[in-house]
Amino acid sequence: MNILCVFTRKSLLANRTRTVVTIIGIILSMALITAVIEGAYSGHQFLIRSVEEEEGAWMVSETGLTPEEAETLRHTDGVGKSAVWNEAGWAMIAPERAERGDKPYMLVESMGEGIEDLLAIRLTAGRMPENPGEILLPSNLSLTSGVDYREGDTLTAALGRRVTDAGETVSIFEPFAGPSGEFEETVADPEERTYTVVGIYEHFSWEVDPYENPGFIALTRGEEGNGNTTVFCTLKHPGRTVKWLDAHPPVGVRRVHSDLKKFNGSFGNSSMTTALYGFTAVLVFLVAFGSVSLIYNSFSISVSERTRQFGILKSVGATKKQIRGSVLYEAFLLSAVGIPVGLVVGCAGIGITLTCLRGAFDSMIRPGSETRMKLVLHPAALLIAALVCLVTTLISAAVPARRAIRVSPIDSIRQTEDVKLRAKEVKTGRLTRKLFGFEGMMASKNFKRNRKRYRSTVVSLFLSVMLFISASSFCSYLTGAVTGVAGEDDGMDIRYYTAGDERDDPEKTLAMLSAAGNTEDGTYMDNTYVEYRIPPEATHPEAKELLASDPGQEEDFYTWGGSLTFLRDESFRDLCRKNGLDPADYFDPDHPKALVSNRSRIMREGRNGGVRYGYALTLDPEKIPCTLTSVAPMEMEGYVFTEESVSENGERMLNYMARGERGEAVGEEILTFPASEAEVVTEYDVGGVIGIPTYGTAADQFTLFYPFSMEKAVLGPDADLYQTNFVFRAPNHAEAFEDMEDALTEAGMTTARLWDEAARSESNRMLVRVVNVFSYGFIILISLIALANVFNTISTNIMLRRREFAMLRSIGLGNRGFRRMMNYECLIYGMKGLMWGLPAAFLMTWVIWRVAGSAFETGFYVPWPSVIIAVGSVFAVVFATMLYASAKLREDNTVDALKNENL
Amino acid sequence: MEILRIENLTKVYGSGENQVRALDGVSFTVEKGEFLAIIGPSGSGKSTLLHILGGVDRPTGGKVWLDGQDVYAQDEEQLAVFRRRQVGLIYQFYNLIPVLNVEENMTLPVLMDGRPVNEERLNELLGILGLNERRKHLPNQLSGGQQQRVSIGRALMNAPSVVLADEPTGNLDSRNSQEIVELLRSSNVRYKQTLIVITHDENIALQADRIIAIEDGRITRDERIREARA
Repeated sequence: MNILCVFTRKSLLANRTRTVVTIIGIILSMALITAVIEGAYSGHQFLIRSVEEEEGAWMVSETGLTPEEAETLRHTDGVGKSAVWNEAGWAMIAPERAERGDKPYMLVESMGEGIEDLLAIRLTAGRMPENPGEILLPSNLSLTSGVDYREGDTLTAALGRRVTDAGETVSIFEPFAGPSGEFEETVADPEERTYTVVGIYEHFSWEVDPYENPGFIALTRGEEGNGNTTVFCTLKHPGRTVKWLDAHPPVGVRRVHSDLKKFNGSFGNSSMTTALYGFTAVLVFLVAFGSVSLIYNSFSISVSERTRQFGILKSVGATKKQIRGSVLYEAFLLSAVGIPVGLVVGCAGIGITLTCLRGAFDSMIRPGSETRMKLVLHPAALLIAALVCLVTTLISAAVPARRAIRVSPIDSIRQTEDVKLRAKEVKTGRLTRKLFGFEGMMASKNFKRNRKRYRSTVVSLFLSVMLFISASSFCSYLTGAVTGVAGEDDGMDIRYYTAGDERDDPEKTLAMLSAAGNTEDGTYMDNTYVEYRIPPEATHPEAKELLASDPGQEEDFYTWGGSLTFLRDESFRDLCRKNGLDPADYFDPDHPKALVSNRSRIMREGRNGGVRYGYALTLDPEKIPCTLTSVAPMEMEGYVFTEESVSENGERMLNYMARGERGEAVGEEILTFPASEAEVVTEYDVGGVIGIPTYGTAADQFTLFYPFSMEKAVLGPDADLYQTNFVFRAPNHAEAFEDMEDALTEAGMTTARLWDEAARSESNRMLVRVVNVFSYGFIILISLIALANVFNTISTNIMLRRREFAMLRSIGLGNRGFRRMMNYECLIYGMKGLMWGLPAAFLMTWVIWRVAGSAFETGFYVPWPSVIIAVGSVFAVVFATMLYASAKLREDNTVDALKNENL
Repeated sequence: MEILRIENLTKVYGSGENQVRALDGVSFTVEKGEFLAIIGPSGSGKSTLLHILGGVDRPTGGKVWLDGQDVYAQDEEQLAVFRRRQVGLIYQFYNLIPVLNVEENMTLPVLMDGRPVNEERLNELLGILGLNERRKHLPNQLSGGQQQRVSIGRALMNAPSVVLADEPTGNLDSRNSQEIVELLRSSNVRYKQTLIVITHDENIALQADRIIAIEDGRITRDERIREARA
């Protein structure tokens, strides 16, 4: 074997600590890169699989083809799997729905070979049809049409083509024309068929069964059909969907499976996508930067350590190429160990993480879905990760090796490069000397003399600080963005409402449900939506700014929609107390006063034309108390308000028509009154602001709160809000829900008005949890990288100064003095690292804030707890490493170290 | 036969006020098989001279011919090969590679040249140097004298045109020093090895065939003590 390879291997073995730390660095980098790539890929695959399970694997479909056209499409270039269904015909099965303009038809489609692979047909009962006499009905048929068929029933229908009175075929994208439609439609050439119902399937999502479709899709098999064929197919290159679509214009009516298209990489231009890409870019940048610097640093320090040895090698005739070869061989050896281990660690790490988070992922998709989150390995991605890591290692090794090659052999042996200095350069301030004594002065001189050597330590500290704080900001803003887009959780787990006579005694209902659900934290309220009129002087600038572009605003007041809530008296008192207000002020029936939750969740136009979510204040808190108003058309017995109009002389008029049975307007007669006479004005005196968004809607909406008992005082004696809402907090919502359900049944009340809100918001919460877990994992890994980095540079640096320390000791520097010198050096390291690291970290935070801001309005903030942790850790790590290294040094015999040339 | 020719060699360190002329127009020639001692006080430029002769440093001006070859007309690559094949360098502080054993250190120039090791010569040298028992030891397991003998072995391994020794005994006690000088002397006689030794030890200088004294970068004396024995 080549002597330089022997030399390299032996050097690696001789410097075990450094070698191990470097390998750990490579392992961490590799693991992080692998975890990021494989995690993202697995998540992506999970989304695709869940969509495929939910909605089928088809990517493109075309409807309204002839069987010949269908065959052509199926054999087009780029089409992967494909299947067809043939229209057997339409049958009018629910004429009474037709009158309401609702779905009246049954549409029978005959499934072709292999359609189960492309469409998600989930049986809820029975089995798939096997011959033309059997039929599978959709689950929504019996639910909504009142046409109830069970498995084994016989169904007879007259199937024909759906045509206009002019004889033109009508597609499933045309809603039922109805009696008053633009055209009359009929079922042409009806033919009586008899089917056996063999099962029920969960009806298709809108991607397959469009909302407009006036027919319930029933499935049979083996029927030839009337020639109207639909093709469902996948594409061989999902990433090139858009290109394929452009290259192959549709013959019939084409649909694209939008979820799959999105997940396959053909994104639309939304602000969330921009943010997602931005975040990913920042993440990749941070990981790459951390890894490269770690690997680079450990090589840079090892080369300066070995400069002398390279000098000796060169003086006995080693060529540049041989030296470079030796360094690259070292990199290769280290990679050969680090990369495979890193790969395994990364895969195992992300695999375990994903498995642990399975529950969270499950709740993000349809309950009962069989799709499970799992690690899906992408060999090409792994290969890319390994290559990235190898190239990084090789470059990191080659760049510092150039230095060793550049200088002449004798300079390398003497290491004269590092000690060209003038007395002025190492001048030390008097203060240093006073504070830290002779040892401090030595440390300071050391630092100034050997800036180059110290630079690697300062740089690694700087990078660590920057990486840690940026990673924290990243996670913090990401969580913020996810919460912001999903909306804030109002903390209400279970919701119920009463109507009519049941409303008489809300306290009793509350007590019953609280007891049943074993929850104490429940309340009730009446609420309604009100268009408040706010005097301009009381309007907050944020609201003014938003309303400036609204053309509908009047001059003498702003209109702002919000909630009007009459909260259970006891809860209202709690609310007052929590906000430091006196409840007594709010219970005067002659002068009822309201509390305001002043924040509204709003959507603004984002930078890229998308939507940004944010919050705005409505009332100027300085101007409270103030009075808001609202107007409503007066109630008129036997009539219903229909619309506003403007009379000939410009006056605003209110129109009323006769009231039908269900509250609809009937007849031809229109009554008109001037607005000034027919409008009822309600006044709301706002007495105080509450800070904490609470009780449902107030989290996201401008809300006025009154005590429940003040309802009549505010709205008048005849006011009726029709329903009373109950909300409960229940840690174990599923159990509480079941118990409440039982209690309601027992009391003879309906359970249809009971909702498990928590289950609904669970998926949002889970999304936040997933983001958090990944964030913390990411921070931990980045911190480990940073730690390895700092440890490596400092300890190597100290080992290199063995002789120097031995010399100082030989002239009488004691252990205490040595420690003081080291302490001062640590201080300089820490300060310098922070001096550069903190500004860089703030800059990165700013970049991240800009990225987050494209989807979610948020103020700029610095994650101070992380900054404090970073500052603390910098000194902790520096001092700990110094302690470790100097403890090792103390074992040295002074004379041996002085004599020892082999360092 | 002339093996080494030096013409008007100068070496300047630093610039401006800090300029130091370590060598200032040095010229001389060395015959094949000659044992030359270069003496002079500290800072006289003798080590600089030796390093330039050995191709590990570059002169500011002047020329060096070794075996008829203009040494510094070569590029870095050729210079490395030149060091490997034509020069043997011995330093005061041995400069062995700590992670390689005695045998590997000694055969380093041959191995780097990609040639097979001449086992016969290696064994002969190990025998002469008294390192037969120590051939698998690492440098830090050896005494100073032994380490210096390894570096002599490394210098002689390739049978170079010239062996250059920079204060080879500077770090050793008198007994070890005498042994080292005898080893060098015998290699000079036995292999007709041209030998240039820097020293300020008069005893060593007096064993040479010729003494050159340097002061402030100039030759102040060039004296032949005896005819070359090699």
